[in-house]
Amino acid sequence: MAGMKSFARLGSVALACLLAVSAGPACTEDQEAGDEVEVSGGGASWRWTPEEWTYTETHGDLKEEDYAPQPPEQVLKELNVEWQKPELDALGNRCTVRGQLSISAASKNQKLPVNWFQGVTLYMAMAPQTKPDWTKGMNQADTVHATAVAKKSGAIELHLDLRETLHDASVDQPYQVGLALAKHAPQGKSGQKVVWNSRTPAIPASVQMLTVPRAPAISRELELINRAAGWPFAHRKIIPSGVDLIRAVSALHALGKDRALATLEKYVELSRDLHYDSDQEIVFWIIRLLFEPIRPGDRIPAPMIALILDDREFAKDMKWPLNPMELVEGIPFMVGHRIAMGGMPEHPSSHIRWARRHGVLRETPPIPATNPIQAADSILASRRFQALPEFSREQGTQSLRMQALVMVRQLVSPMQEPDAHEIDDDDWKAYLDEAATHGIRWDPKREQFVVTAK
Amino acid sequence: MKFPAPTCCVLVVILLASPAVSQDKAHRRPQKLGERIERLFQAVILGKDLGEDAAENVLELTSLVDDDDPETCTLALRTLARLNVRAAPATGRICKRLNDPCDSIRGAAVDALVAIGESAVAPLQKLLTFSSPTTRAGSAQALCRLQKIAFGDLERLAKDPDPRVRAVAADGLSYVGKLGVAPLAALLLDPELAVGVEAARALQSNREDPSVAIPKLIDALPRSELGWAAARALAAYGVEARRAVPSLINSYPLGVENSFGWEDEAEEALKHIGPADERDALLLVPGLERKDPEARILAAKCLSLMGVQGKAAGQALEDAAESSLKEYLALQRRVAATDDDEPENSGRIFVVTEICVGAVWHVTRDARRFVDVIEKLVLAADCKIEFQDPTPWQEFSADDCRALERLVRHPNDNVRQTALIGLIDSGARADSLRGLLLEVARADDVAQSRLAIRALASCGPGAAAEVSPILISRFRDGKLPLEAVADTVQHLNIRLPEFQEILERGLQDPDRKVVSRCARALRVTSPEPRRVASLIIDGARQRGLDKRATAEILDGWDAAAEAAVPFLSQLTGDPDFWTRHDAINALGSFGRKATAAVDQLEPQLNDESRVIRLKAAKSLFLITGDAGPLDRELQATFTKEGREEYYFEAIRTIGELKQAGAKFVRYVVTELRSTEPDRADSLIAALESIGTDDAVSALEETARSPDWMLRSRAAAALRTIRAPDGKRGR
Repeated sequence: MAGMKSFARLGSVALACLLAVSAGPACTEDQEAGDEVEVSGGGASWRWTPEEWTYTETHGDLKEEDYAPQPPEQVLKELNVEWQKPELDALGNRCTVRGQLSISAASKNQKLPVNWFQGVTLYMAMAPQTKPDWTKGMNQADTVHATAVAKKSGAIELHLDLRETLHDASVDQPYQVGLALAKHAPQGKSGQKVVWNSRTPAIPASVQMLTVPRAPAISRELELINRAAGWPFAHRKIIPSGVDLIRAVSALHALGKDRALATLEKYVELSRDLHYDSDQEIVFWIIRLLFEPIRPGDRIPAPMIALILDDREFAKDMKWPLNPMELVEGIPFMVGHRIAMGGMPEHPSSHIRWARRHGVLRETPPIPATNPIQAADSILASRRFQALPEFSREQGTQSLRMQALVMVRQLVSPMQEPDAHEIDDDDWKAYLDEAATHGIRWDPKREQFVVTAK
Repeated sequence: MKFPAPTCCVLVVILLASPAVSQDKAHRRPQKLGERIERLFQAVILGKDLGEDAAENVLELTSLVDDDDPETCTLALRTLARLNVRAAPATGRICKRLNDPCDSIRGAAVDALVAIGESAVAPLQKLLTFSSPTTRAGSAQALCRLQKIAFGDLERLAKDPDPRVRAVAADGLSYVGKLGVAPLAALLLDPELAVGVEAARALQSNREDPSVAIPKLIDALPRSELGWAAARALAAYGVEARRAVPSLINSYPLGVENSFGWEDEAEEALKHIGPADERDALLLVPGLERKDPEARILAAKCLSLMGVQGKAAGQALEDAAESSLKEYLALQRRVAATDDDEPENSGRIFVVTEICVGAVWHVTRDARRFVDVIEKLVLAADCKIEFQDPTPWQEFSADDCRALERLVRHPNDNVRQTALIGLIDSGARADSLRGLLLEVARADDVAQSRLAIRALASCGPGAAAEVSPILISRFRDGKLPLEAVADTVQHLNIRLPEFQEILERGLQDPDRKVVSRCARALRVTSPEPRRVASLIIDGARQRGLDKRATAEILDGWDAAAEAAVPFLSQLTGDPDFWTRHDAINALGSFGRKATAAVDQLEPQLNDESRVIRLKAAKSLFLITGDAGPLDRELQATFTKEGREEYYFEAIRTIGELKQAGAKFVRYVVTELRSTEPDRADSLIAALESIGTDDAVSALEETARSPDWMLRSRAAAALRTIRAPDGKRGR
């Protein structure tokens, strides 16, 4: 399978690929060249390459905040951090790390809070019990990060998404953390430009092991929804796949209509923090797979979010029934792509309400009847897909191929070229053949795809 | 080829005996089919014409209905549906797809069977008792749409174990008249909420037995997520559902139908149902005690609407006004103490007070009691109280106005101001307190003097002689601004030369608003309209007076036609859309006197904007009597494509013609008979403006509508037309 990329790198490839798909025409100010992404707007900018990231913010007027002046470099090097025990949110995804910044006073026994305007970066090892070297900054392969500005009291609070780490949510695990300082430069009369950069070394005294607690107990159904959340665009350590979505839908189907909807409402409540943002979109997709309109011929409305499957030119009765997604032989796919959008996106509670008022549970939950690669291929070859506008087809093709491969990542040959972002036609054909040869099928007991042929 | 019905039935049973879709089959990529079929499929996807020879492919399409690929199957079904009865040979295979696990394929199958029509009826009837619930639901739906289902079948299907089947039965029962109402009422209690929603929808369209439906819909209001649908259904019964009003308020809020809905369904329903039954006045009182200020506002508004029939709730309204005010003041104190930017909706709580106190007037019609309540509340609130239009003051008689004398003389500033504002609103009836108003107008308090002058202005020209000297002296003392002088002169029609001089000087004022108000006053009062019109036009040409405002001032000023027509003709070429719009409109108002403008107006009939075309056609009709261009524009506007964007503009244009609109009244009447009540306001306004016999009889018919929104608005229009100074016979 020449020309294929290593599945060991599928995460980062998918990240860049899906990010490109999702950013698409949405961010006009973005520039993407190979493995480089730049985003700017609203007084902030972000630049990312696999080797380095830089985040810049401009704070126009800090006069009213009454911060103390920035001390000399030497003082900054002697900064102390007193870490507190990390906390997790109810879904066990979001880890909050708090601490107190201080400097030693003239009399060495006394500590004074940091009361100047100070940007900070939290480094956290990606894997528990590992000790990445941060003397020359962080490496994105072994470290995750969060940025913030310290309060005038010197208190800091940073948030990390543990789904970007290798955290086992069922146990307490020690993680190395450290703090790096952002660079500050004067901006105008009383403003400051703050630059956070991944190559900034961590303050040696700040590097410690902190115990990240196990996730709070939640129902199995909520856990499955949480695992599927972000499908299919989220770029995490473990990319949520169609398999996660199938599992969540199956579990909810078993609960019956009322309990399934109550569980989805609970998820919406637990994920209401802004941090979850597009994660809540999973509710739209679950509702589509779980319910059908009680009146034959009615359609579930398409959610008004920054996502489109552009079938506007189609006859009314030939529009994509589950727009913007599709269910092929029991396997879900997102056919639509991200777009720019103004205003507030539709809240998923509207679709929960739709299901309660107009929906009835499908007779059975989706049960895959073929392998995902063939299923994706049948969408790609379908007349309706071919009738989509060119941009939608281009976006959809890469996205569908990636979604299919993510579902069977352990079962097909690893990719060879780690930095390519596309699965070209030859690679795709090779995967189709391989999936057929391996006899990949759904194992309903294990709720996963398995290989049946030797 | 057409199979006889029994053959179809046998075929259906044989086909259905085999599983619809194999769950464990080898997947295959959609196959490229023959060119003719692919061409048909492309046409179906894009909604294009199939071509004349499409029916020749029925057999091939029939076999494709069985295709494993869902898209091929869907396209075959959709293509067959487009062939209508010519697709009859495919009936059996299509019926088989009613059992498909995919709902969109089942939907396509139902559409195809409905399109086939009569030939599909017999096989579908056999399937009503089939073991698969989706087949039962699909066949029942197809038969309902074909109106070929027996009431007995619907009754039985309404008790089917599967909710899909019961929902379809509900839909079918909406077409069978009075017989269907009782089973639908029972379905409101269905354990599956979505079936209850379908039953409520069905009772919204099948209103043949209100005595059975309305009590059951009222019972359904408190059921979570069903109440909104029950409220929508009750709204369709209009005034017949008046006993639902207390439950609607007690169940508020009920939510909206979808994310795009704005007004709560309870509020929406109340607009169509109108006043509650007199027996239920006290049942509305608990609504006044709800924590939610919106529920209290709703209850108070409902009591207001009842008028004196709600008298029993008078004391409760007074209490609610007082307690809401206390709540408002407490919130204000808390906000002041905590320096909180978010005053917890205190504004709405003050609105509760205003609406409750307004309702006290409407239910009691006791001016003294109302005025006492006002005094008490204004003193407690330490601010004046104002009402939303129409205000209670507008309903005050001359006698009622006398009740305000005490408040005008009150030591408290806010009480005095509230009373004076009331007298301004009372219009000519405030003349009963003219002496007192003149006294206040002459007094030292500038703010109250101004309010008194405004109240005197609203009394009408009778007060002109006494007000003029006060006006002059206040203006010369610098205590009354020029625009207030202009307004008063206009209202009182004061024609004294010294005011003419002041107003003409005002035309030179740098403030456009002042110029505009002076010009309006001069238009009414000047003994030399031609000269004044020229002055105003010069102002627009030379001193940058707003051209659009000038066009509006000149509109209908018959005495100024000679100067106005050339100026307005010139403005028809103005680059600003609205200046052009208003100039075209104003030219029409001069009728034949604007004949010289026809050459400028005719090219506007080809303007890219339909609004401009409509206005130009209207003006040409008024000037030349040629109805052709306007008729053509109206016809184009009321087509399916044109109506959404320009509907209201077209209705407004007809209304602007006043009696001359008689020639086009048919458009309005036709629309009124088919429109939703929420859209009828502009239609009724147009009929009121036209005021001819045809318009009156359409309004009379509308005033008998069960919908309160329609009937109350139409009744008000009729009152206006029939009033002694109304439009009838003008």
